[in-house]
Amino acid sequence: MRQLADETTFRNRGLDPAPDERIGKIARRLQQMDLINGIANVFTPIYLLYCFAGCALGTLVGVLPGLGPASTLAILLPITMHLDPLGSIIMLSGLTYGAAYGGSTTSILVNIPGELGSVPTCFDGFPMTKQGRAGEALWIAAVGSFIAGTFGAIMISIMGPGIAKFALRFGPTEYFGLIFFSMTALVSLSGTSIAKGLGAGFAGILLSCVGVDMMTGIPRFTYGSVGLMNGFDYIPVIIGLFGIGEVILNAEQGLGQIYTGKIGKMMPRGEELKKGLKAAVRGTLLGFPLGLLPGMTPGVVAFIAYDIEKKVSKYPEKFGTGVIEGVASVESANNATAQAGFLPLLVFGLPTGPAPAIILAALMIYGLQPGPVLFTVNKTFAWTIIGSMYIGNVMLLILNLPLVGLWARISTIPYKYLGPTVLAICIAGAYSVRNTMFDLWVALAAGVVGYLMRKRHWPMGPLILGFILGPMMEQALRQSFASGGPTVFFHRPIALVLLAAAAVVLVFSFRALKRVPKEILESDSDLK
Amino acid sequence: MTRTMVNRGVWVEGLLLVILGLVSLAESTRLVLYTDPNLLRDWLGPGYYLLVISIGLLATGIVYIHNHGRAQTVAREATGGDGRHRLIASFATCALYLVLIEVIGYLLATFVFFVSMFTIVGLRSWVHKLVLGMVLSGIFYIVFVKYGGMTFPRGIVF
Repeated sequence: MRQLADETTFRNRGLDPAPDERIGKIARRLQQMDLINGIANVFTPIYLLYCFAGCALGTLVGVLPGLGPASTLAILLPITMHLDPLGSIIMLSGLTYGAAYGGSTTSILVNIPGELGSVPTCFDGFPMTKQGRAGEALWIAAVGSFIAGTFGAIMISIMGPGIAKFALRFGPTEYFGLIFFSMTALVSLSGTSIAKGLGAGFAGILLSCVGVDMMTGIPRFTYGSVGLMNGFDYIPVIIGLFGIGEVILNAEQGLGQIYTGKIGKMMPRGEELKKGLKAAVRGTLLGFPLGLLPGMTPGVVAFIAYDIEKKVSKYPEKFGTGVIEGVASVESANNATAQAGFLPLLVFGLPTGPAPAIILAALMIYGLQPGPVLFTVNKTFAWTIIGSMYIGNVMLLILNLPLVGLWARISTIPYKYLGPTVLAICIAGAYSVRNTMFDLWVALAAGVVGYLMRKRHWPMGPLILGFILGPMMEQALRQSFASGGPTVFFHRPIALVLLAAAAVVLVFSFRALKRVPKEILESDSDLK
Repeated sequence: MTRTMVNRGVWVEGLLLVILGLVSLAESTRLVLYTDPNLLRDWLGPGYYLLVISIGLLATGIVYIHNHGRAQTVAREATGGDGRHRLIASFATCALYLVLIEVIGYLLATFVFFVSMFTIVGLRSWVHKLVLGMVLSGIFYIVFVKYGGMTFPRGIVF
């Protein structure tokens, strides 16, 4: 820090820049040494074990519907208190980005997203399975995740602090522009009827408004209920809509086995491989910078990535029918976002979502204050965690590629055994977040809604999008108005550009949807 | 099975949107009227954002009924009697499970839930049901309550 300050002073005084360059080179070399030391530390058997345990647990959590990384981190938190702090954080970090890997398996094989970031993976992953291309979908999901995860780790090590500083310049006005831009996905996720998509989206936003208003403390839609005062948590609603709704629909249909098909050949070839890898790179490049922004969780970014991939595609009408780019972009984007969340967390102590917030809590319990100080006072600690990300991503590739059959086998267990077990996990997962019975009833109610929406071909994507982005959009809008009045957007060029882009995208989406055959939109909305 | 009755479902769905819109319109009006945004330095306050969403929802409900509410012949998905029974039984079992957690505690309630659900989804052997129920509820109890530290309501046994 001192060196950096001196460097700035030299520059300001117009002195010979040569010392700056030398200092810069030394700083870069020291940073490289720190990273190498960090990676070397992870090769200590005990830390390798912690890293593997985190990655394996993360994959399992991702595979099991209903248990998300945040709820599992919350469950594990009391257990890790008895373990070595560095080992615990390595394990918890591995679990966080490991869940983003594993979440794709059940999304692809059985149309049940293991976690929120894998919801859009169902849109094309499951149709690929129905076409006998499950192996290709699983392969591109794992490789895309590896590309994104490794890219994320490299970016955190090299360019991260600079990008994080830029992200910190975003004020509420820019956030509103960004979230409003994301909301245009409501149209493209609507299926046959835009009215259905908008209705579901608006309902999702309203659902997110239940509880005490965070800015004024005034209760909304609570009608005197103590349970409603805290609002609806994401996890019970998502578990209900996707997990409980899906399991009960399968029970109704008397499903013998939820995945009876074969995995098929793993590696896609030729044009499919090129398309998949290109989409994975696009998803990574989108997911990482967005993941640096607070509130941009893997779940949200996955939707944006799917929407953007659909828009840039030469054949958007085929999305939802088993397009490899739909799987690759979503999986790489959600992994890049999960990985990127560690940057503001470690460098500035800013959690970008529920999972990083729990890791922040764990760090604070250990008496470690994340922030620039962590990189000076606890340098070894910080760089070992970053080093573990490189190793963890390799472990996850091994866990998810050659061993994908092992995870997939969980889905081949006869439904009469798996259905009730998944349902019980969903219920425990819904309860684990806040330990209240209210959340369980919310999950059950959401299960009924999810079942009815599936039966009546209502898209669930817009409902979830509205539910997650609604509060962020409201807060950003109100803060923007508070800081600059109603004309604030005219004084903030980035926000204005984002709003204009949203308008352009909306027009583009309306036109694009008109070109899509009705039957495709119908099946598309069933999956969403 | 094809029928021209599908518009009834559309009407119900559209009306639900309208009702939801009206409820939130009432709530947002209350919030707009009873708060002082200038005092709170919050231009929009807790109500105006909701007001816009409510109007959007209301308009969407009306447009939905207008666009889709007319009678049309559409194939209806038939649900067999068994399927309907399984559906109702599954939801009822879940609801009962939640009630039982508060009454008899997590362990016993989970055992009852597993045995009931296994019966609903078609596991015939009672020995399998009881053994699996016991093993799984035990595992769930150890993982979530003992090691996970989740504090479920205390029942009559655990």
